[in-house]
Amino acid sequence: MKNKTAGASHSGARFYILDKLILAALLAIVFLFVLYPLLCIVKQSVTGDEGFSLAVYESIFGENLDLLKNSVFVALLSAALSTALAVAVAFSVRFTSKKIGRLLMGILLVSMVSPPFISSLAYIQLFGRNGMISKGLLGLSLNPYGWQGVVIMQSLFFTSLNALLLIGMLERIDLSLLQASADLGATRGRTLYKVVIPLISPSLLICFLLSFIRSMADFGTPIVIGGRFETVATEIYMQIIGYSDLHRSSALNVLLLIPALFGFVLYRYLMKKNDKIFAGNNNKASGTEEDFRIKGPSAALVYLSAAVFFVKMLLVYGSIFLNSFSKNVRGDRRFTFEYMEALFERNMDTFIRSVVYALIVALVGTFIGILLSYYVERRKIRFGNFVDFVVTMPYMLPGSCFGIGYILAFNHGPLKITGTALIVIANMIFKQLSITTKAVTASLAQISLNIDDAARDLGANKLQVFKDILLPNLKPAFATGFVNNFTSAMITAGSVIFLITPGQKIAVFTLFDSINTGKYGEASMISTFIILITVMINVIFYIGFSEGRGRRSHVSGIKKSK
Amino acid sequence: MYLELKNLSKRFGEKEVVKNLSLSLGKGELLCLLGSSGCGKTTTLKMIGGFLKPDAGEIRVDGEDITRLEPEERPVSTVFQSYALFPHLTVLDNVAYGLKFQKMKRGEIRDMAMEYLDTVGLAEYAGYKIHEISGGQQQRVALVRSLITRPKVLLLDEPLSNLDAKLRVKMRQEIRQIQKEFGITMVFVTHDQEEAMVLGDSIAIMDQGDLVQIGAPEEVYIRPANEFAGNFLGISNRFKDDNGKDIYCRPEDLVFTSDGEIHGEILRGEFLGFYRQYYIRTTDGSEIILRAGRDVLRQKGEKVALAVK
Amino acid sequence: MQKAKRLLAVLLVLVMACALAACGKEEEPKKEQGAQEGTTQENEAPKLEGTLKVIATSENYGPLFEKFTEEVGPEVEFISMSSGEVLSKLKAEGGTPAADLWFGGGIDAFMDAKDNNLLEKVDFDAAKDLAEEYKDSENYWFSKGVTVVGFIVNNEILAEKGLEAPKSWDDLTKEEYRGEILMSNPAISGTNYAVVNALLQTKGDDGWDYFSKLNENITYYAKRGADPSTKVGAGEAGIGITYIDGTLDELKETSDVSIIYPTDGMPYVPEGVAAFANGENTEAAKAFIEWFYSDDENMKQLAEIDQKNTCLLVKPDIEGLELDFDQSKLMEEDLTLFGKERTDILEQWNALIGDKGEE
Repeated sequence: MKNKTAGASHSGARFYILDKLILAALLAIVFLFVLYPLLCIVKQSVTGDEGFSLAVYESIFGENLDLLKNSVFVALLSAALSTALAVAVAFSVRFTSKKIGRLLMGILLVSMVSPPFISSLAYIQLFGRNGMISKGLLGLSLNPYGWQGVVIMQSLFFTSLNALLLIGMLERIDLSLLQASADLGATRGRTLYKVVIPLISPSLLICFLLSFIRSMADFGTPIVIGGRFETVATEIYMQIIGYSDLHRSSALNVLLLIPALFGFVLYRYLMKKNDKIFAGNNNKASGTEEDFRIKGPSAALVYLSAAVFFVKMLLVYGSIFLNSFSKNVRGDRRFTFEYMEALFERNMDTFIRSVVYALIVALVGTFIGILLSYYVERRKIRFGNFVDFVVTMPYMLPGSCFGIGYILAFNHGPLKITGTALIVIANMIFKQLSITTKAVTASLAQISLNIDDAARDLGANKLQVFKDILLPNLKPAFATGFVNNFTSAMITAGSVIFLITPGQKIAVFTLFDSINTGKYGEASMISTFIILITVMINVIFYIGFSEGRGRRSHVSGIKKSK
Repeated sequence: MYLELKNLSKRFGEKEVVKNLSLSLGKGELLCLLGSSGCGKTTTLKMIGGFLKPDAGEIRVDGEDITRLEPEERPVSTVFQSYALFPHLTVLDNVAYGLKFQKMKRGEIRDMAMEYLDTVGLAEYAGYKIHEISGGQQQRVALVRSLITRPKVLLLDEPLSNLDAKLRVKMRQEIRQIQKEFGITMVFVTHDQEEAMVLGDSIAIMDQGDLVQIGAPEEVYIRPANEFAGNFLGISNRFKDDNGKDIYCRPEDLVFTSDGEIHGEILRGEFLGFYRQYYIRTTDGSEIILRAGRDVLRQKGEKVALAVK
Repeated sequence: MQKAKRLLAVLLVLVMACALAACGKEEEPKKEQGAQEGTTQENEAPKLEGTLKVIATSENYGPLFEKFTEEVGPEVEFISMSSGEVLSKLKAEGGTPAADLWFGGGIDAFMDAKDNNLLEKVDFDAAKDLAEEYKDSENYWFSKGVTVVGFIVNNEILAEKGLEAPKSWDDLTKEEYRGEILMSNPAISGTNYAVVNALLQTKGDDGWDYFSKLNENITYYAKRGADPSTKVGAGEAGIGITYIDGTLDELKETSDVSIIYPTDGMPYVPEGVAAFANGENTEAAKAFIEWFYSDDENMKQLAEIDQKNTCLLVKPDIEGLELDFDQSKLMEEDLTLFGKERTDILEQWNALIGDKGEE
């Protein structure tokens, strides 16, 4: 006699209500904090001085078509390059000895933290006209400004997040599959190409999409190294900063959404195709502890690409560190503590506040993201695609616009939260939410639906399945979401610059101030400090979550018997 | 009847996967649901398990209508083809998981899980992670994980298909033994006729969503309800004899005999250990198979006469 | 996992505690401020309370604000933002600004803000001592100093290329400087907007012709104000069009650069000070403005922070300060045109040399 039916109807009803409540609350906050501000932006774009007007749109398409082409051009290149590089990096981290893997992982976590402007400035310092490498080492006088520079920088910096996503996925691939393929006589290169790539293809798609829209929305990189090369995002920046024209900048945002929307629809379509491939596939979590190494020409290609990435990252971050402890006095580099002293003379409150905000953003944001993609991807709620699109939109827009949307939405009436910490934190959470949902989506695609069924079969209701079975298996996605949320909350300023009140300054503004007044030494020092704090906390969490799987009891609190 | 399916139907889009299926099973019996892939056997199992909602029909267990119940509320449990073990949990925690939802103390849960593990000889692996044990061991864990919840009906979805031939034979004996021991009612889905013959108290053959035949193994084997059923349980020959009469028989039912009324020519022969198999073209042009003792020798091209035993 | 959970719990508690502490802090001043508002409106209490929220152009004004807190009362919280950002933010806020005082930034933005009713009128006695052209006739905005524009050159690069340093605005259009001149986009940089406006005023009808010639020598227009000076310092460009103040002296220490005051005149733009309309603590903002202009010591401290003495132009009777340049070298500018013409000028500028879509 099976006991699980005892009291089922009673607890079943309670669960049903709880389940619906959670879903309703989730949808409510998504609509309130994402859709509503976005609608305010759209409304702004069709509001002229005398009410409703489409005047801005009449000229905007024709005038900005070239800019749109530039945006798409760079976005496609950066997305393709950064996804390819990320594959190389992820393979190098995963399929190498543990020690080297850890070291590379460390560099990768550091490279996640790319404070605005400073990395691009470091790049110019290294490879520019008077660059330490280009001129000092190679004797070349290069012009780093232009679309090439933008593509290189974006590719490099998007690779970090992409690689992190992919590594999470690779960890879940059953190594016995690879060994089986190798046993059957496939070369290592073929194994990678025929077995591993198809298995991680949902993640590849996600990487490509995210990089594409991230590039479309990125104005920081083209502003610093684009030279005369301009994109829709830089034009939006100009409209806000230079002309304070909210109507036009809002309309440009709508323009920017078109290719992003197109990309999103394509992504959804491909994901759906992928679902079918995966439907019958039962992936077990990483199999034996035996190592699978890559060899031969494919390995050479992988390692070479990864090496380019790691070396460039080391150079860029190395030069930031170097700049914080030394200064160039007429061609002569001198060691100095003056920037360090300047740093500690500053108000440390801003750093503490940054960390507090970022922790809240990381924990709350990651949890919301996981719940949301659980309902959209696993429970297949109605209009799930639409919800997913709404969640992705903030990532498609330059940060400053999403910030302005928040002011427009929350500066009056019962929803007035401008000037509070809540609005800043909410903005940070929802700007980055889609990264978490995408990381979770990719992870979920790898967890066989049978596992959910099995748990329910044994008596768990849907929420218990989520808590007991899915959540523990989503640890890599949680780690990725956490690292991304925490990092971006520490270093992004664009979206919150309009929301922060003078009393709530966060660390990145200190950095901005130094850059704006041309104090690169101090700016480097502040960056170093932010990087150190961020990496420290990221490492703690990343190790805690993605590697924390020994033989420990999870469910019933039963201790292992051995 | 302990398990009853009444007029069960399910369609996916245009395709009707299960058509008006009715069958029943007595308490403590083991039914093998046999058919080729796509015949609707797994869909049927999923409807019993509660993972698919039938479009029409009724499912009863021990007199109770469970058609509308959620999987977690049903007194049935499934052993999945892929085992669907929880990769993040230990062997013991996997087995104990179902007990979490029953009002039991932790200590009791642990003891009971250990006891069940012991019955399949896996007590010493209690602390292992799932990926650290072999396929056969995973299979046993999946089995006791379901058994421990004491379901009224245990559903098994091709549970042996991931194992190698030798292990498969061993495991099916084990399953049979456990079934007898626990006196549990089982529905066992398979596409392997031999498995079905060995295990089943009764066999239900499905084809394209229809139930073709249900009955004891001997009955189904010896008196197939139609050509499909006959074909599915072992190879069948179908041809016309010299008089133009339809002959329908199994390879082992044919013998070489000089006064046979059926004539043909040997195409090739195979030595299969304790018997030989000959491929013969009969005069009506059909290609048929004959199974003979290993000492019965015929040459390729030889003209032969045959008879049905 | 157990460890991670414990860690998580500890962190959560920490976060909560900090968040609560932060919230508590924010709540306090608001209450006090509400309580005391009534008393200060009519009779001038010797000490104000509450918090004064300031948007400034730099983080360096801390000491000046501390002095204000000491002498007048309100705590000062400040953040730095560019004038373009301030304007966008004000417009989005729709009349509910998150700050009380605006300290620094090109005067055209202040004129724009006044036209959009975003500023508060501040009448006080000392206003009459301020030079007329550096304050709004209706007391909506004032100036704290003046940004003066000239060139910075990297001597090494010029020597490498065998070039003389340019001496005047007209020199900049010489072919030999092609690809060596860096200028910020005038829409972004108030300094460079001043260049465009002043040169157009000075050159009259030839003005646009001048800029199209200059355009040929300019590699690209930087999108941040400090770029020309820092990039010339770093050796990435030979000549930069830049604001001139004491901070450039620091650059001189580390790189071989010289500062050039153009012989045919220097464009300049006043740096504004104003109280926001409908701020939470407008009284404190008004008090700050009055306090600031009523004591020369305040302006001297500012001169020290800004590393320039241009507040002398705003309030000519300050004793003990001296200008670093010859005042007669400033171009003749009708500042009233700065705000009015901005949109038209930038539009024309964009049409003439805009970067749109170029590669």
